[in-house]
Amino acid sequence: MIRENYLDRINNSNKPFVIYKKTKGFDLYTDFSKKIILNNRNIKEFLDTKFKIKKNYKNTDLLIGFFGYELLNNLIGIKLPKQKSINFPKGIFYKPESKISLKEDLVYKSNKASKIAKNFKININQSAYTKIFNKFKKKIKSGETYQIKICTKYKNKSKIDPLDFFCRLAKSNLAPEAFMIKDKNFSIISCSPENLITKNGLNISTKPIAGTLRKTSKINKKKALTFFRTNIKETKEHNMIVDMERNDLSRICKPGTVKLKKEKTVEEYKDLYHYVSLITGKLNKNIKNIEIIKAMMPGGSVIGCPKISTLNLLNKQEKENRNIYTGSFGYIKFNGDMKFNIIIRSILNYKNISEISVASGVVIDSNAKHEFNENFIKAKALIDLFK
Amino acid sequence: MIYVIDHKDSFTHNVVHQLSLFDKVECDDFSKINKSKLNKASTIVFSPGPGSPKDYPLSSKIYKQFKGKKKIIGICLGFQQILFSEGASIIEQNKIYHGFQSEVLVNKSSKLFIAGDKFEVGRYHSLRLRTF
Repeated sequence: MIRENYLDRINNSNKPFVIYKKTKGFDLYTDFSKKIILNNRNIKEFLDTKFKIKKNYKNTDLLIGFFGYELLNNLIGIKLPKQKSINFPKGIFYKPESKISLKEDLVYKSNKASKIAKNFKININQSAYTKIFNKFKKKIKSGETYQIKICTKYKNKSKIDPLDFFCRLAKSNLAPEAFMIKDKNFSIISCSPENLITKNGLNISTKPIAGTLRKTSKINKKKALTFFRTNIKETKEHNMIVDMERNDLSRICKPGTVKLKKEKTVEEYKDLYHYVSLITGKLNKNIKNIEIIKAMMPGGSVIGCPKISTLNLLNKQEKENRNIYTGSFGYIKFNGDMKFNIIIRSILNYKNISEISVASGVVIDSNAKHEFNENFIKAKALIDLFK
Repeated sequence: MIYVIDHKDSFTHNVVHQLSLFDKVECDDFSKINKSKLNKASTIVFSPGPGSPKDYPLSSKIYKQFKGKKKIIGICLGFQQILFSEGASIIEQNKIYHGFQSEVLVNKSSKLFIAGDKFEVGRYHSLRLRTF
């Protein structure tokens, strides 16, 4: 295992690195021999790349990184209107030459100069939120969408030590899809709970989350499950997302193989409970990774449904580029296997501005105030890091 | 061959997946219909989808062209597409069902169902037929 001061050393070396949660502990990837900045011109070529078939693959025979939201829209033929943009790259992937296994308990003491602001500015206040909410409710009544997620952004000006943030977050709110990226001019710190694609050989699975319950001292996991099971609104919201994910998998899987493996379970986090299902399938033979990505991304649970018309409604409404938010982070191995999450519960720090985006769903019987507050609960574990 | 006409829905492929267990299925976007597939198909399926039948004039045209000549099935919006093409008016519902599960009780036996059977269905409908 790794000496305790390893994290200090890597952070002081100023080398870019990536950390990604695995079942137990974390993997750290570094010594990047290649950095691919994605755009609309090179994405198809990137996803079509054929890797040499080998007998033995190294554990660094992979590309790790992320696709931003805009890039994933463009990939399925959806154009975004002109939005306010910080010109952050649309996607970046790295080829690591070193992979280091880290224990669950990350030990790191920050010695970096940081300048952290506590207060955040929100881009949509409650009354503006309510207006958008009511507009979308009309669209639900006319059948243009059945569920749509309104995104709000929290921003502040802070110079942060991303590794310190990530280690503290891993302690306070450990999530199955947590990751961080530290590069020269930006960092991402995430406690994403949601896996979008796990592909091993011809097996594929997705684990959509739909349903959030605020944690209080009176509610335990069992009570949360009863709440979700007996709440018609939460059940409907969840059913829609599960039906949509089954649909997306059906586009690329053998007929009859798409199965709801684990239906409606509860996962517990620092400030909330989530309602989760697991869907699996067997891929059609000879299917290409680009087809899998186009069928599954951007992940439906954070958009709403049906996907295409809802994306168009959202994009028309949103004035600011989502950047990494509701994009996907993960890796493509040279043997074709993949793992990707949905980038939610994340801090993007770029040019010393930190931004946290969150979204909550509007269905026909949602309440604007409740959903606005739900957005805050989702951001809280991240905002607390700035205290 | 079954030709499914997709109205850009996020549930169409659940139907395609099911139908594939019985016959060869082709599925194309409503705006990119392949004429030779359409002519070859023994059955045409109009998929569910967002919006209202008036948004899909091309699908109405296909219905009118093949009505009485091929088997045609409409699901959700697809069903309303057939009604609309026959001159019905489709209006907003007061109560909206999206992702709502209901139990269906079969009250008359047919080729597919036995009277007295019960099963659960997922409902998606914002619009309805105006009745007289």
